[in-house]
Amino acid sequence: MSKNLSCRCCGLIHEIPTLQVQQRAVCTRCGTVFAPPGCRRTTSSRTAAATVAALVLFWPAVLCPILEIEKMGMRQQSSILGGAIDLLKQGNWLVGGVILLFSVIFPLTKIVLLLELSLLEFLHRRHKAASLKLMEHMGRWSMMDVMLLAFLVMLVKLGNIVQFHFGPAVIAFVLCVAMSMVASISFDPHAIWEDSE
Amino acid sequence: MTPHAASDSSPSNSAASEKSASRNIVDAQTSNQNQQPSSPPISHEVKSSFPVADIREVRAVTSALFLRSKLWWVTVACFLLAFWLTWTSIPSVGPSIIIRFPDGHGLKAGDAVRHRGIEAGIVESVALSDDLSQIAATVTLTPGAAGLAREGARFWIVRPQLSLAGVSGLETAVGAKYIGVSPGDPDAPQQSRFEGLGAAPPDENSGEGIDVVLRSDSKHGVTVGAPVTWRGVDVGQILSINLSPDARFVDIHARINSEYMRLLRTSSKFWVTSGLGIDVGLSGVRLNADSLSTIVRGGVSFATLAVSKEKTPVTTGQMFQLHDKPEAAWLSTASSLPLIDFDLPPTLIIQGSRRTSLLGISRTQKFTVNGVLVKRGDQTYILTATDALPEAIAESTDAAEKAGLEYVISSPQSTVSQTIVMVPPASTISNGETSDTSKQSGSAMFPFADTTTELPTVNYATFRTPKEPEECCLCRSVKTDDDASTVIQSISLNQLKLDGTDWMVNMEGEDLSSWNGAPVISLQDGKIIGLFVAGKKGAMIVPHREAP
Repeated sequence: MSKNLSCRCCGLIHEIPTLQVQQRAVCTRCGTVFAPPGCRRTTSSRTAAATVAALVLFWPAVLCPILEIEKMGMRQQSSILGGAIDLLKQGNWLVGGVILLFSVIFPLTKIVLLLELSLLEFLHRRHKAASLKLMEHMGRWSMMDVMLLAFLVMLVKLGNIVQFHFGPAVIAFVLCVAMSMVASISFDPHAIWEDSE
Repeated sequence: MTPHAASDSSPSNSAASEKSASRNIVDAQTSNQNQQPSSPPISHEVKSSFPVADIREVRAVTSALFLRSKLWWVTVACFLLAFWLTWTSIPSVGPSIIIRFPDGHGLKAGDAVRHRGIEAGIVESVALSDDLSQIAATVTLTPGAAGLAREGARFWIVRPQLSLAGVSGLETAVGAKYIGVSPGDPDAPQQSRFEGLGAAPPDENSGEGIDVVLRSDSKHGVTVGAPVTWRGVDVGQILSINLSPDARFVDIHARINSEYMRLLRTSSKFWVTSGLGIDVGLSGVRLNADSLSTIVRGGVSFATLAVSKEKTPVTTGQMFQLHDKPEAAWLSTASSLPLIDFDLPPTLIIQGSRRTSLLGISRTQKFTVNGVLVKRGDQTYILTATDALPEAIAESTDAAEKAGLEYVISSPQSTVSQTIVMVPPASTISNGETSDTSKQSGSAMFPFADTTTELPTVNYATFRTPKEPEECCLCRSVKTDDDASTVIQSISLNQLKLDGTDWMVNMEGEDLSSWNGAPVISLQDGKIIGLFVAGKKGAMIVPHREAP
């Protein structure tokens, strides 16, 4: 009893021999371990867990005030979504659109697709492929992490000019970024096909 | 599991991954053939050219279930965190109110409403009213400041005020403007629309008090916010200055702070202390000025000339005449008048004569002692100091005098004077009317037989047993040729020293012998708490004790 599997890393197709409990199949070319069937379900579950966490944290991260700037007694609170909408209102279509697209819409789509692929599986197999492709393309353009970097830059640069505090959204934002990274790292595209066999 | 399954998975794999994946497969197949000789022999069951994967031993197999559940715990934690973050960031808001101001003074959305120096709300928006005559500021109060949105609350925009009299609101010159608020009655109904004031109300800093109107023929240089002083101490403030409705007078509204309200009586006289008074005379130039503040802002001072016995309280809005300068008599009268809020008990003057013998020569000496006529139930007593009386008894040789001495009891509050024969206290002890201790202490209650007396009496209910020394005053009546008045002597706490049950009075250099037998009145509630005795032991207060 054995089957053929393609290596996750280099793509070389191997014939998997029958394995004992404490044995793992290893690619002959690149040394990548072939995940045992149960383990794939585990990675899928981990991805799902991280994705759900990211999705839950996404809303406070986007909607709660992330920054509170105080300058000469004037206080201004703004959230990511509110800031982007303000930019759009002020006529900065490009900047507002970019922020809205890359730090709200794309990350959300990516998280939702990841969730679908790892946990829900509402879609038919044919659409799964499409959603996987979409997810991979979206993931490249979801720039939440970049936004985080921008905040750090602001912290360093603006610290002396205005007084500002980070709102509760920052914690949610950082954790959301971390969880979505965990989700995309542990996501195994091969695993999504396994259950449907 | 079957070759079919494997062939099924590989194309979809390549479709799913990037395009290079299909090229990889080709590579893999070519390298497959290269590696063929080195790879171990293929099992005979499957006829394929794929290499067999190597087998590696792993030491520990982590439980799949454990891994799975561990990250889900993180998810649960994240869920809770997200919930908490959302909860904390939902701004807790109080009521929203609309305030109309005649002038915005540059008020912007985001400016604060401050009460007592801290933020009580935030201006959400500022807009012009429909008729362009006002601005309307929409304000969201903090939940803790919801009580400000009540009827009677007054709002104004704080802006820098620079004048000779002082500087205020300076922080708004460079920083943001803010709305000041003076809360209304806490029991008033809620309200959401307010009319803002053009400027800070003058009484904003002056707290509770009583408002009176000072009517004058001229403004006399008094300005709004100027102090009202009592002997130079600020006791109130000028709130507003208007012309009287018929334009014949100037009406100055002044507020006397609540802690000084008792200074204000119907007999109070107000005068202007503004500016400088310069007298040029033969003796030189005299310059009179109260304080720098009154020179600039003007000021009003007042004095109370008499404490009315009927106690007609000064009501809000009561009108006083504002004089341009004080009369000398007011100042001298006011300086000798004690201001206490309770009725002083009518006291008696007990006059008698005692016979003293010195070197065999006996002579009669008149003496005077104070006392109070106490009415308790049906009986009336004279409360006075015993010191003067038994001495006279002991030294009297006359049999008639032994039976009792004649005293003239009179009260300045009444025209009646009565001559009584008083049984000396030595024999009243056996009567049981006077307790032993009270006699020793130097105060005694003598029964007063005449119940139909016209002399003023004091009800026993006005007596109180003090627990410890307290601020008090002595009170006695003084009869002058045409007038009777009550004088008091206040005794502060640090002049009292507890000695046994009595309180020794230490008034340095003051002769208190004329106060002998005077009732001691608590400054707290005006009740009689004892009797003053100036005897052999010195000046002391014998506290009242509940008599059986």
